Amino acid sequence: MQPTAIGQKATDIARLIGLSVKPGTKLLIAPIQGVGPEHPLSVEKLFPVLAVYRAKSVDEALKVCIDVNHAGGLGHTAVIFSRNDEVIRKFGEVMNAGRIIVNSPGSIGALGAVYNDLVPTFSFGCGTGGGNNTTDNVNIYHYLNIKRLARRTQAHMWFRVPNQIYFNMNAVENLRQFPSQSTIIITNPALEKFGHVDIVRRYLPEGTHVHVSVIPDAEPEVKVVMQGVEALNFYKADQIIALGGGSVIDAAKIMKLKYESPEADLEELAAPFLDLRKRVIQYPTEKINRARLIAISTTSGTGSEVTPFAVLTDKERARKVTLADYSLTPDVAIVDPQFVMSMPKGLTADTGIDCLTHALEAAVSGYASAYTDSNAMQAIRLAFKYLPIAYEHPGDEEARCMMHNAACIAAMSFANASVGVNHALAHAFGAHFHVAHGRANALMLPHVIAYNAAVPTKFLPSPYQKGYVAHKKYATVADLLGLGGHTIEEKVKNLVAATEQLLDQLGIPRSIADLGISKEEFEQAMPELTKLAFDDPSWRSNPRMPLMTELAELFWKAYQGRGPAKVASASQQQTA
Amino acid sequence: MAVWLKIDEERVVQALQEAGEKLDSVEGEVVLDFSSVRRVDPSAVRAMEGFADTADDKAVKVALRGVNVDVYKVLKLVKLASRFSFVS
Repeated sequence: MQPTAIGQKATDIARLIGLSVKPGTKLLIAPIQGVGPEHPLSVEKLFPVLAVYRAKSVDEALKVCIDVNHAGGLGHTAVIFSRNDEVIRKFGEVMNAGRIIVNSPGSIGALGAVYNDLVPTFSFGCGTGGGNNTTDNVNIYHYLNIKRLARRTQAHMWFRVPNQIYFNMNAVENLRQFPSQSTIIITNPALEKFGHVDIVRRYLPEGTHVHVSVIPDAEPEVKVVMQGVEALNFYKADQIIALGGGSVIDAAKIMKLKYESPEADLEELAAPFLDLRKRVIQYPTEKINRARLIAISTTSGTGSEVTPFAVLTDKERARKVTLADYSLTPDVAIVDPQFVMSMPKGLTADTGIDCLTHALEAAVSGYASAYTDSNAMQAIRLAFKYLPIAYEHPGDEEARCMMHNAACIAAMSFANASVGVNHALAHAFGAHFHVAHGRANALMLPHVIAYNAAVPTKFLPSPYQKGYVAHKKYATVADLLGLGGHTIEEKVKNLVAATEQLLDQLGIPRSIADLGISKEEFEQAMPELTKLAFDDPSWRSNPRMPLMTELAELFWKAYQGRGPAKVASASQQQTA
Repeated sequence: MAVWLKIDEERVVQALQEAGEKLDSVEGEVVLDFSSVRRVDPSAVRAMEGFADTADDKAVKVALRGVNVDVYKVLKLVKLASRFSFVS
């Protein structure tokens, strides 16, 4: 390898090395045995000599190509001549090059626009491999200063719920219209014992093969979900009926996902996102099995029968994993109050407050719209009115029916507007200390209302709203409930007081301390709780972006307990 | 040369850690069979680097057998390939 060879003709190079070739020879080809400094012809040469490595297999050939790629030329150009599409695909995958030229001359091919549609250029970006900032064929457009004037646009929104929702007493009779060869009823032991499964069976069309899969009465774990999937596969189910509270319905949603798309990676699908429509991870659309999911809720409630969310408990790491996609929404929801008549008081209280939290969070969410607001406000009104009655008089059919509808309506709202920081706090706290979801929400709620009503330390971008409106929305809720007050601050204060009063009526503990958790234990858990809450995607639609210090402060307030909550003074509020 | 240890894709990290502890009783060269390893994640790459360090300390040469193109590409990218020899 001599500098004197650079740019010389093949015949001249041949003469330099004492090789006899025919006049007019254009190219010299030299066999090499390896790649690297000890094989100088394996790296870049600026003269017409081609090195040839004869590989015994495609695998060996690709590895040699990788070696050459790394020996000099990372990010630049790689050329392959092959009739085998799989080999071409693999070559493209393993080569670190901005241009992979197939079955065409290399240098002219890379130039572009002659043998292919690459943009023509003499400047080849080599990306990170070559220490460049692009792998493009650099062209005139890279050298122009382009200005883009971006006017604010109104982003399109959505309102997605199951296309069939049947409600009021005996709505379960609508099961008659859903033909099925093989139906699996997913439920919990208590509901089977109460005879609710028999009620459901009664209304399934004749000829339906029915099997019951009973899962533990607790927040679903992966192990339980996979056992359910085994059952679905065994019975080749074409219909799944989830009969239960949020845990059962969430489990059924995930079972359906894994049954229809076994390759779905739950950990990957639970990756956090800012906007449901723009995330990197896509839920599977190819399904090897198909099953209709009918959700019959037996609590009032999580509203899971109409939402695109499913929450799994990862017991090993003491955390909740949330899956969110509209493909998880059940196909049919049945909201029949006969299934909640026997709900015990504690469950009535906890699930009822979960419903109220859904509605309140959806009302102030950054994704709230006229569609979700109408549902949220109605659900809040129904919850405040009927929850105490359903709690004190569990046999009151009207109260049970209205609360059951409220839970579904609240869920329709948050299924589209999402929830907020209350849920982020509750998820973290509930998973760590094994406190029921609704109760965990209840412990945070008054403090979160006061927090959201105050001017944020940090705003979350909200393309759907023109300013900070959470405090105004809470004031609207107060007006709806007839709580009085002349200023926004007064109305918010009244709403917090009304919420606290409701919680007292329902026998909800006033503080985390009242649950018997010691201060030392809580203090020790705080760093983990704060991190879990911060990592929870629920708060991303919260009107205020919570700082970690603020999350910690909210946890401490919940620990110390509710009393008259402090709201920021009028001078700190945005003017109406 | 005979295979000293076959690496199972499901427990690359553990296998390499255990192998590292056994290097005291080895002289010359060892062959690790990677033919069932389809891909390596960051923890496996770290384990391979750790194993290479231990082998260097004990003056033992390491050959990898049956490494597929995808794994080879990763080893090349993280500059680990030069610390091993490769046999088919």
